[in-house]
Amino acid sequence: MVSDKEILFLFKNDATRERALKMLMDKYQQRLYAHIRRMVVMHNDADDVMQNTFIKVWKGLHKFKSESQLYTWLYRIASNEALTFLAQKKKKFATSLQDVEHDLSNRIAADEQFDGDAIQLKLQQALLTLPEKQRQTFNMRYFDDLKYDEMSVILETSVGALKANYHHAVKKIEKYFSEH
Amino acid sequence: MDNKKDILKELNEIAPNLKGLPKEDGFNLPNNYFAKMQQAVLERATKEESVKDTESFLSRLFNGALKPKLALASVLLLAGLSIGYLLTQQNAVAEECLQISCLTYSEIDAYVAENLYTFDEGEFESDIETASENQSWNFDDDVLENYLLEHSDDIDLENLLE
Repeated sequence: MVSDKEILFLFKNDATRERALKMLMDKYQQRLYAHIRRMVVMHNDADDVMQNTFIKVWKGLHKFKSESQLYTWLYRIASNEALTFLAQKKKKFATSLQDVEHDLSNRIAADEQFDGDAIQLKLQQALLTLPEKQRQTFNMRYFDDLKYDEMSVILETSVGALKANYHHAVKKIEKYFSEH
Repeated sequence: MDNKKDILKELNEIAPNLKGLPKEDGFNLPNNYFAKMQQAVLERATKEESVKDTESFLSRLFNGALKPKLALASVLLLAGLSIGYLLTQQNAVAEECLQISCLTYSEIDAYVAENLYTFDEGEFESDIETASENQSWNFDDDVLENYLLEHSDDIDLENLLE
């Protein structure tokens, strides 16, 4: 597996910049896709956000400072792009975000790019009832297995706030499961 | 691994009823998706790069060669317009004062004082005679009588006779 250091080194050179981007995508695309997909739910939307994310990376990687981990930086861009996408979707259809997520909840069962069982479907529908930040926190903690310290750096939120967020998210999911 | 265990333990502590919650989200994706995605991203990236290069070239051209010349041209144009305006103003003033009636008494006095010693009496007399010849002084009696009747109140006959 190629190192972040090597990717950054190759990116600095015009002749090898594209190769560096490809190597970066090879290394991180699956994790980033999974994170984005859980936020926007539909595959086509996730594809749009993925491309936007990597184009932002292409434009901004020369400014990346090695003070933080490369994956943390990428994750933050992907998170922001996903949230921006959802906000734009809400604006575009002149609906509240809850309406957007209610619509997604209805569509997910029929989506051919979803092949989860009944429990998995119920979990996704429960997640769509949460505020975005809570949903994001839950996804990062539960599905991506991130530590609170890592999440704190990515989301620029305190560990305490993240723990509280996660606690509320889990309680709401529990309530959803008991009611549905 | 410890972290994953910690996460499961944490979930059970918060919501024991969610024990056994699936770790997989159920989402899948089309075959060969990542290869297509990478191709699309690289195409967009290189396209943006060529647009950026063109913009950079035009920017360098403007700043390097054109900008100083444009600046100089602007300054010269402004200077030219200013000079033209000033000249126009001077001519307007000159035209205004071609007629002696626009001169003030102080201006006339100043002119006389300046030119007193260059005054040519002979030339002056000649000018008067020429003006007289050009001027028609032949009034008939009717014209003269009408004039006197119209201005009788203004005329001091005693002084006139003297």
